[in-house]
Amino acid sequence: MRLLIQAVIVGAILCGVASAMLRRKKVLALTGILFALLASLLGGASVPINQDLHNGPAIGLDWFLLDILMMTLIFSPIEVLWPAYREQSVFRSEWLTDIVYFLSTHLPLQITTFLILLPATQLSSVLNIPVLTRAVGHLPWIVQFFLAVLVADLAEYAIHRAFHKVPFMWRFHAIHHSSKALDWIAGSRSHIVDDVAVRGFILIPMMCVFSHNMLVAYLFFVNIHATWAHCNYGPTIKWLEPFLVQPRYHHWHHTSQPEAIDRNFAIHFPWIDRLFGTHYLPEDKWPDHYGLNNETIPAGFWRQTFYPLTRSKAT
Amino acid sequence: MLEQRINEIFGDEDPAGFGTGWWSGVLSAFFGLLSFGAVICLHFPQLLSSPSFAPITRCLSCAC
Repeated sequence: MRLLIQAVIVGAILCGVASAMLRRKKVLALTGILFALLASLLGGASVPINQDLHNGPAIGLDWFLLDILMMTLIFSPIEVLWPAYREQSVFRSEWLTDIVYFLSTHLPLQITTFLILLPATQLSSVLNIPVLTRAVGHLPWIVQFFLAVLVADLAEYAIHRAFHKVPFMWRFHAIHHSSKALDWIAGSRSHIVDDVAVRGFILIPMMCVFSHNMLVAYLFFVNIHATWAHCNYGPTIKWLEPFLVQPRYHHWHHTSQPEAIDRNFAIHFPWIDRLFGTHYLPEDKWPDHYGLNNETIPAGFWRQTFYPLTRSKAT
Repeated sequence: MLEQRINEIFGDEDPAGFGTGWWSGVLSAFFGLLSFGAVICLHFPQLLSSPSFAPITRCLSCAC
């Protein structure tokens, strides 16, 4: 980890020097170099840790930094190299709002984790079926993992469809659909109630059946897969399209075009939508428009957070 | 709006393709802010380190 910090400092300085030489406007380069120097002056990667660590409340800044670095390294290069929408910039409109959303789920990590786990931990003692857990535990891990993703996606389908169809719930979920352009960070725009309810609900059936390791494996997978589904990433593996959600599939879920409204609720397996009659995927085409139909939502994190709680204006 | 102000301060009208210094500039600012944040985390681990990361932070304190 200390090596990583060192590498990031060196990277900032090298990139800063390159940019300062190549570009007329030097603000970006200077900002990078300045902060990297500040980081070094403050002790760099070799700051000793003297304090006793405890399990009290803390702000998850380290988690935010690590996750945004990881996600950027995975998804930004593929979005830049193989975009579905070539003209879309990394800094498209409302990019800062989405970074604030990313911050808002990572900094209060303890609170969000507690809230997400609350229903599952409360109910799992009631719903726990030891026979089933033992039987599933004996299966090969790859089968267990497939079952875990399947159970999760069925639960996701149910709660996701409810968030679309129940008007009170839609007010929360509409915020996730307010993005007019999709990329990996757009996926993190989600009202805290939406986020906690969906994740919490999915965990209820999962905790009844699967082992702790399987849950961790699933959480890792859904984090990557759901983020990838929002990516501005063009290539599609055609033969895999009926079996696994790829960006093009989830982009149709986010379109404002009437033909695809309330379609493609599944986040892992498209055939779940086929089963329930909500599948929509025209051959080889990407949507032209994204966002909300006949609805306007205020801009900015705080206004959006309070928006679902305000009275809807009579139309 | 803050986003507009940031775009005005840091952006310009020059081309932004590879080799124009745009990517290196963006990466420099990104890495700079990341490293600064990381060092702040090392300084205040009690306040800024998530408990689930405590084992990693403890590892760090052993490493030096």
